[in-house]
Amino acid sequence: MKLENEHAIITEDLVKKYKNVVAVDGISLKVKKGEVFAFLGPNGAGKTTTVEILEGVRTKTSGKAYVLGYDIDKRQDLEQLKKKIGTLPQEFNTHQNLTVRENLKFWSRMYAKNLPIDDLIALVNLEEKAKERYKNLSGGLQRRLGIAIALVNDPELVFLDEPTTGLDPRARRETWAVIEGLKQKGKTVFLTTHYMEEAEVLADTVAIIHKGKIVALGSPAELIDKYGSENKIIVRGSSSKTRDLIHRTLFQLGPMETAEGEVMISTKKAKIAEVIELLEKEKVPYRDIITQRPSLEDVFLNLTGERLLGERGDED
Amino acid sequence: MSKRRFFKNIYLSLRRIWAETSRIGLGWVRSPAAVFFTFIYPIIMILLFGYLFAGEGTTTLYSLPYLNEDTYQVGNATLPYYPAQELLTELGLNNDSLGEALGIKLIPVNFNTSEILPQNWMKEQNAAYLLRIPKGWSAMVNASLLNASAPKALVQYYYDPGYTSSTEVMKIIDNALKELNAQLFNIETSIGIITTTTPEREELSYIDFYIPGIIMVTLSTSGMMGLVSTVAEGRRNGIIFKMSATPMKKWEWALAQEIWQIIISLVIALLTALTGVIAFGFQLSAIHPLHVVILIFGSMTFAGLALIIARFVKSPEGAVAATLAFVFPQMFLSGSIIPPEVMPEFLQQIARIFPLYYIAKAMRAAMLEATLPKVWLPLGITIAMGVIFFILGSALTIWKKD
Repeated sequence: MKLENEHAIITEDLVKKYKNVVAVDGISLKVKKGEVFAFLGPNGAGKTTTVEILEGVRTKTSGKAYVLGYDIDKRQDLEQLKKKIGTLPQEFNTHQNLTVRENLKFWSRMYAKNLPIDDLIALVNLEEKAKERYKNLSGGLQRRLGIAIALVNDPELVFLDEPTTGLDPRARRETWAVIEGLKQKGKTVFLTTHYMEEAEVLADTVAIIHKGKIVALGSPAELIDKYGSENKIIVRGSSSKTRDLIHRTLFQLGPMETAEGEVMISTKKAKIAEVIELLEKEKVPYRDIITQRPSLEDVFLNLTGERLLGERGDED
Repeated sequence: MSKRRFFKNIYLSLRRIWAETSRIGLGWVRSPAAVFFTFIYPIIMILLFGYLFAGEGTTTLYSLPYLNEDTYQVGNATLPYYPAQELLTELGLNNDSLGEALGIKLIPVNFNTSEILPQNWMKEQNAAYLLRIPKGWSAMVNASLLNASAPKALVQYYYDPGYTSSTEVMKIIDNALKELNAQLFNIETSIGIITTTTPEREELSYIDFYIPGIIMVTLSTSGMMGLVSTVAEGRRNGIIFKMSATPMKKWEWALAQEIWQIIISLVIALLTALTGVIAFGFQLSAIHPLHVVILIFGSMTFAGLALIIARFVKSPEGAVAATLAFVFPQMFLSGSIIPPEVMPEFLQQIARIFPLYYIAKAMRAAMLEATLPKVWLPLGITIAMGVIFFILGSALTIWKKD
């Protein structure tokens, strides 16, 4: 296998087996340089195992992997690779009794190349907490420090394993902004997540992983187009009588489902304007009309028959 | 590799090692519990073992109850010569300084043996031992003076075998009887013992031999337990694996742990020695420069051993148990506290599997022999162990997830 210049990661038939479990089952993928690549799947799908193999932290059973042109099977290559990557582990932890600044300084000293500590603190908005010890930070702030630590060596490739798990919506959006900033700086980001919205917002390419295998690969739009359900147009009326009228007027647009006071049309062709026109023409009263696009959640459901967000914990 | 790159790599390597070492130090300083136990543990150890084994401090006095049933009378007159009284005098009756020298304090008791057996009396009184001088004992002693074939005059010693001191007390009584025998029968002793120490030992007291050993015992227990727990915790919270994703190499990380162990060992050694000076009059002149070398390589040995044990420990909870299983037998069998020669032969053989056995030997050799030709073998073994255990510990450290 030859590494092409435009790819940051190439894997071929990557396998990780434990006694009776195949955690990673023949994963082959290519990650372009400068893109945000999302590994989307439920807990236990094999995301973290794959990432750890690529980081050189976990041994693999078989297959090949090249990261930034380095063969992870070769010791010297791996040593060189570690200088150029940044990692945020899923279960991120750092030294409890050290402050934010001291932790960044400590991890910086592991590398020859460093970003200024103040810039990193500013990047993750931790200026006010710079002198606070890690153990006194909230979960969200700890995770933000984790991202800053992943960037201390100004890496070409950043592995972020579930960077927003357990964060509140605001902290999650702040983390997304940091990741978008990395993309703008031309960094390659390998992101694992089980939040479909996160993958949809951030990723250029999404690989959906299920039971150790990649079941779909492409841009979010491509995946939705290919594997997603049809658009849904929902017309809400004020009574069941109105609902029957809506149903009779719009029946030609596509399959319909009715619920209390509303009619849901599944269609690839029909536009909301067309629906309004028909309703106006027939003088059918309605309260409002909304459209619902399919999401990666629908893609996952259609591909695996399971929902993406299960009831299991966060461990992969 | 160019010369410049070579030196740059060395610089970066040293920077990583120092970053980890200073990080451990900073974390330690900021952990009040760690600081407290690091300081309090050696002080407790030296005081405990110092008093227990070095014979310093207050003298132990065994309280010996005695029942004197004997009165020595001829007709209506009590004769002035009274062997029972002589025996009690030999045991320190009315002579506190003699009693302290012997290690016993006589306590007179009085009960009627026809009503209660001495053994039962002991049970009731919770007494460990009892000396009984039976009725007519003095008369029997005097009869023996007149007639060599007269029956032996015996006192009775009752003891509870549950008390290890009962043998000691019996020996004291036995010695007093022998002394009395010699006096009564005018036996002049023409053979005896004169004691002289070897030249190097002249100025040293018992505690001077113990303190270096206690220092090493303290280092081996506190150092190993701390490091095994740290490594197990580092694996559980993922910091070790996060570290392995950076350019830091496994041996660099292990060396940083070893350097910290050496630093803390020097602090502990100093603290223990000073406590020894204050509490027991330990002579600092007993310390030889080679002790520092032994201390450094001894610490490396224990740190390496800790890394080896940590390899097989799954959780921080198991770390303490696994380390204790090693350090406790080592503490008592290595010869640092209990001299190996008082142990059964098979235990002496088992003692040889513990590194502390050789390190304690090197410590003692450096103190007594003080010349390199006589110290080189145990010193060489200590240095070799330090290097080998460091390499093994470093190689066996789990640096990657399986």
